[in-house]
Amino acid sequence: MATKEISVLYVDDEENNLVSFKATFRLKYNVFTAISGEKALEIIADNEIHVIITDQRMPTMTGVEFLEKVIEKDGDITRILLTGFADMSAVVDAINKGKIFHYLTKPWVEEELDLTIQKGYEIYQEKKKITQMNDKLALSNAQLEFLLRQKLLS
Amino acid sequence: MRHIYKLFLFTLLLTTASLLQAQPVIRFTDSTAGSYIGTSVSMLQDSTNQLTAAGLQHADHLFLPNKKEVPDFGVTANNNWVRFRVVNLSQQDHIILSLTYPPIDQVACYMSLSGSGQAAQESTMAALNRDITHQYPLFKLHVPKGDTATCLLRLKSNKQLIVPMSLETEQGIIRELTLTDAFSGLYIGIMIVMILYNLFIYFSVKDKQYLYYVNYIFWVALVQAALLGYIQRFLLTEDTWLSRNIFTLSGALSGIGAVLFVKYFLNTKSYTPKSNFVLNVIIAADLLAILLLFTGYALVSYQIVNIVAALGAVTIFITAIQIHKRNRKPASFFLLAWNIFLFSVLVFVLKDFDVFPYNFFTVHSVQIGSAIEAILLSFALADRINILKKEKDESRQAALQVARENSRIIKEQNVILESKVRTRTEELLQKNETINNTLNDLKQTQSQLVEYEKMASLGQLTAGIAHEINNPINFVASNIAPLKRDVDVLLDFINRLETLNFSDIPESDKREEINLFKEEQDFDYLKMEIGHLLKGITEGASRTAEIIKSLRIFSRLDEDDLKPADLNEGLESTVVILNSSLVHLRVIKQYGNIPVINCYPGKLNQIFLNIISNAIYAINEKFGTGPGGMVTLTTYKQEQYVYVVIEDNGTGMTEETQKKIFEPFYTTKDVGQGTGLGMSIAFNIILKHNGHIQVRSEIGKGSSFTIQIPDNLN
Repeated sequence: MATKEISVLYVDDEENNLVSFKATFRLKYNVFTAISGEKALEIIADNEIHVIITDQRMPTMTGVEFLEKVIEKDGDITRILLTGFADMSAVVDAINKGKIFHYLTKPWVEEELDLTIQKGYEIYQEKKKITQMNDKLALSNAQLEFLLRQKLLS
Repeated sequence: MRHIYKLFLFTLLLTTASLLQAQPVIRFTDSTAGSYIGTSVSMLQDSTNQLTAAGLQHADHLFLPNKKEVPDFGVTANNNWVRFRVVNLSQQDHIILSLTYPPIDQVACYMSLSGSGQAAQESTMAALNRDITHQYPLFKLHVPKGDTATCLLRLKSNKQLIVPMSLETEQGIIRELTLTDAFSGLYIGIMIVMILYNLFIYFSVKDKQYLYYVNYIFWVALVQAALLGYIQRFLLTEDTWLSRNIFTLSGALSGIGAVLFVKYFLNTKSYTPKSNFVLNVIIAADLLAILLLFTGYALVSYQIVNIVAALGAVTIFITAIQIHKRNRKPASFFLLAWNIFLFSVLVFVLKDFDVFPYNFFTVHSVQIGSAIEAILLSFALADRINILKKEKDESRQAALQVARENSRIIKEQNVILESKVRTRTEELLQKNETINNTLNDLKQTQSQLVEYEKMASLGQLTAGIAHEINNPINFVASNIAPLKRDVDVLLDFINRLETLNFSDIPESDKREEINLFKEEQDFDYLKMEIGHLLKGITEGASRTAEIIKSLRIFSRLDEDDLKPADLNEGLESTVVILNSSLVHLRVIKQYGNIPVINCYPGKLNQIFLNIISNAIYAINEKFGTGPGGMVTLTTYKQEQYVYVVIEDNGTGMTEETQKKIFEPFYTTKDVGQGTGLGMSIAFNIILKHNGHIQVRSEIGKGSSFTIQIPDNLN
């Protein structure tokens, strides 16, 4: 079996939703699930996650709050909000504060969710590439500077 | 009147002329009998009171001839003498000497014939000693035919002494006396009739002026009766103090009576106060005279009475004219009566001064005058009644007129008022209609709002439900696909097994194939996953069913019957419906052991929904999306009530909000957030249950709502 490239983290306070999600996408993606925002943050610390999908209405930490924390940790991870709670203010917060890439409603449509994850991964890759590029550039720049300095000295 | 006056004046001159002669002898014939002999007598006033008849028999020189028809000695306490000589040339044996003046107290007659001595005949006021029983002093003089007699009369009186003398025949005197008596009887009869008549009127009408009239006329009649001598003749036959003084006494009293009558009749007190004062003085003077009479000063008293009478007559006359000037009709009647009376008195007095001759009319003028006066005054009284009646009629007419005018005005006013009332009523009716319309509009609006609230409730409800069902359905829906996949894997595996089973490869190879396949599919995990998926589907389905059930329990929204219900159940169903909203806060349920009670369950659930929603809203306001929010639901039974307490630790409410919370349309939420009807509808529902709802809240801390429903509703 081919190794699954994409690592997806799904955060929801309903256990059944976690099971459902994992069952749906375990064959395709590398699925991580967390029952709360704190647990999710632990997983992010230990693993390389590409896409995060989270529910909004959670007891201890809402989805938006969690996403805010994620941005601090790693701003490249694609953030998606999946919620059945059609609260306008939450959506606005999610967009403005959580800086989500996409907003989905529950119950999800599998195909739409699938496509969104893939798109999300692409964007992650792009970001990562840019980051890598920037790093390489920075390295090159440093090396060139070093050489230049060397040259100047010698 | 004037002609008679001239005639008397002429007669006066003649008589005066004849007096130039010496004292003549009176020729008594049958034809000259009856005439007054006053002009043929001579008088002597004895201031010593010592002279006797004998002494004066031949003392002709002492006597002065009398010039008047009636000798007048005035008011004197002295003895008074009259002398005359008469020759009997008639056919009679006796000459009757008649003194037609009863008020003479003492009179003695001494006659001496030409030849012989004299026989004295003395008579007093009393009738006994007289020759002939009459109030007039009468003397029967026995003078033989052809003889001449000389008569001396000694007279004394404590009143004015006038001596009207006449010589009569017996028949003549009888005729005279009966005539006099008849006339006097007539006069007294008239007076008595007037007195009695007016007395009777007084008793029926009770008007005091009749009494005054009776009083006045009575004394006047009495005076006249005394003057005529009837009192002495019939009542006071003895020579007593009263019989001597009855004249003066009744004179004074008649003066008082007259003044009283005038005062009352003409109402001098109001109209002529000055005259009224003078009249009062007259009354006082008359009373003084009576006092003097009683204390023995008879002559003074008599003088006073006379003076006062004269004064009184004049005063009354002037008063009557004054009042008459004011055109008072009773005064005019009175004036006439009084004038007649005064005139009669004048005539009576003036006859003594030879202005009028002494004859029947002049002697009896006062009686005639007073009788006429009495009658006229009676007319005046009667007239006064008429006037009063007329005045009464007039005033009644006036009153009637006024009443008619009033009723007309009232009718007019009535009409105006009625028309005003009509206008107002129309206005009011219109207003009423407008109000009714407005009321209808309001009612419509109210019911619309109630519908709206119901809809809002429903909206809230459906939102809640939609939300609630959303999640479980998600389980079911999203678990189907992976389950199908897993089932396909299983089916595939079963096929493989089947193929393997019916193939010929060795068992160890078969086992290896199976193991390989299991590893490939991660069979253990698959097993677990299928289990989880099924569990998820089951849960989702059952949750949905529960929500539907709760919805059914909850949504007895339009039921209007009392039903036995368990409030714990109702509360729980509401909680389920609001589950997703309550997810991020703590819900503490303290359901007590409460009985099933009769209530409107749907409506109560609506209340619970409203209150818990408000609690959630308040908590969200305070805590935002963070933790800490807590809702406590408590139920318990106490005495006759079941209590449901919903507490929250949200923002709480101010005092003002607490007071207004049940007012319709009162809300602290933003525009569009709430209708403000939830709590007021809740209040009405609780009223319908005969229950109570209590609010306790502290701003910043939280609120608690306590609902109590009686357990015995029917």
